[in-house]
Amino acid sequence: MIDVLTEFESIVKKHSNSMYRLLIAYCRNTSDAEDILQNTFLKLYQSNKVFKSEVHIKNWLYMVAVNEAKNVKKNHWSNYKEIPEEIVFHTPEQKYLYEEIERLSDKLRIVILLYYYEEYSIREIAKILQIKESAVQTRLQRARERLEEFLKEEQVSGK
Amino acid sequence: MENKIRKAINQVPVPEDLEERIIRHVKSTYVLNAINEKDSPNRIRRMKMINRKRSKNKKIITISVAAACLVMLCCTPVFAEGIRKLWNDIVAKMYDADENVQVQYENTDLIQTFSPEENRNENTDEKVKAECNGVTVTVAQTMADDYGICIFVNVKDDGKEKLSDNHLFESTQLYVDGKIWDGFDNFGGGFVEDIYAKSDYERIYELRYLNSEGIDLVGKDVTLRLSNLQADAGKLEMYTAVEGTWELQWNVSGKYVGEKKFIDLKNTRITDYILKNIEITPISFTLNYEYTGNDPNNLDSINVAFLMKDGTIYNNENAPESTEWITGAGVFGPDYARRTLEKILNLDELDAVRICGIDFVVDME
Repeated sequence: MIDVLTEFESIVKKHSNSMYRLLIAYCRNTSDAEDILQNTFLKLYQSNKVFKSEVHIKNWLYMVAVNEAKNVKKNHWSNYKEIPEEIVFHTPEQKYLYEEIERLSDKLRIVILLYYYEEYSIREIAKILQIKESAVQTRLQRARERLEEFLKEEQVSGK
Repeated sequence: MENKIRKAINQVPVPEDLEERIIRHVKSTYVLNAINEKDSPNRIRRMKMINRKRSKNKKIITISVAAACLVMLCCTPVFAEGIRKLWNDIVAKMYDADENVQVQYENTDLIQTFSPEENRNENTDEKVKAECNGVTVTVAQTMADDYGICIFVNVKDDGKEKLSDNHLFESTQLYVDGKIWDGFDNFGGGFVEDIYAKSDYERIYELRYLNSEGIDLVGKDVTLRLSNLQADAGKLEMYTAVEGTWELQWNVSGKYVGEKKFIDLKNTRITDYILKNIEITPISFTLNYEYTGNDPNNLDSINVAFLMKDGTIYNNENAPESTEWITGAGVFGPDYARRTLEKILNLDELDAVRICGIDFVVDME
């Protein structure tokens, strides 16, 4: 039992921080992010699934977490922004970029987060989100265009 | 830009006791649920096990299926000849259109196929093959219904540019009777998956156009203009790998005229939507409703699944992980949502439609 829990704890330690940050950026709500994270790891603990590798575990965790997050977001009551802790950005540009990512639609935001933050490939994102690779490509391109426009605007306006 | 995004997200503070809280939550749930040995963490022990048995079985199944297919191909040329409109092999694979499906929809004008090698264009203006800078593009097959057209073109490079799912045409424009048709919403597509590949240098390219204004394409001349084959240098930094324009022209011979399924949704209210009905063809569905809220973007939360008679569930992109297949591109407005499907739906086998968890059974006719 101890070994099992130790292994489980090491998985939690390895993935919880980055998953939490991604969920905060996606859900814009700390309590939702934490609930989703707890449910995801509980599902892992109770799962019957056979994992082939560390990467497989990570991909599975993200897929479950994103599905959980989608379900939470379907609930209109949870569609409010609540990030009580102040995020301290190193530069104003970081802040603007973060805010711009927040302004993206849910579909574009999750793709951008998985691609740039988690550095998943298009194929992996397609599997996690259960959408076609072409849809991932299209969404990435759209999101990128919006962020690039924003960054250009910021440069022009000297922010 | 990727580093900037990562750096920005990394500024999100993580509670110091987050890991502890997660572990405590799992342990407490574990205790509360009194999970016995049957549900015990033995499962966790299996996490890192490599499932050799499963992969071995998979290989055996693959070899058996391949052998069976070979035997079928060798023994049944007459049957293959007998199909009036022969599907492109790769498109059939992409859309799970096996022989039964092909035969089922044989006389419905669902698909249009092309044979450029047979000089079929001698007496027409059709041009279903175009070559530029070593890349040859050929119309392989189309599928159409009242609401859109999926076009599959074969792209073959002369051996200089290996084609992968990272390649895209910079521009893909569809003209109807010589005019670019704004009523079509283009959902790109591309080489997408390895199943689209014939070889390193030859792949099927998929294009989907939703016909949101309801134009009847039958009998119309269409022109597909593809420009500049681009590749991804990484992180979606696209560069032009093969410069050029490929223009293909043909006359649309038909669209799906077979049976559609209409299901009355009985004015069921789901959040801000009053659901009217759903119309289903083998390649698309249209959900009609009345939107009563203030934010039409919330439509994305409507989840449509198809329940087949054999128990299979086909779902859209908000699907939970247990379902098998997702729908592709779509449009939505204040009174309807429409999506193209990524598999040929066998309407005879459709049992019900599940919308946001509510099942609506197909009416017996």
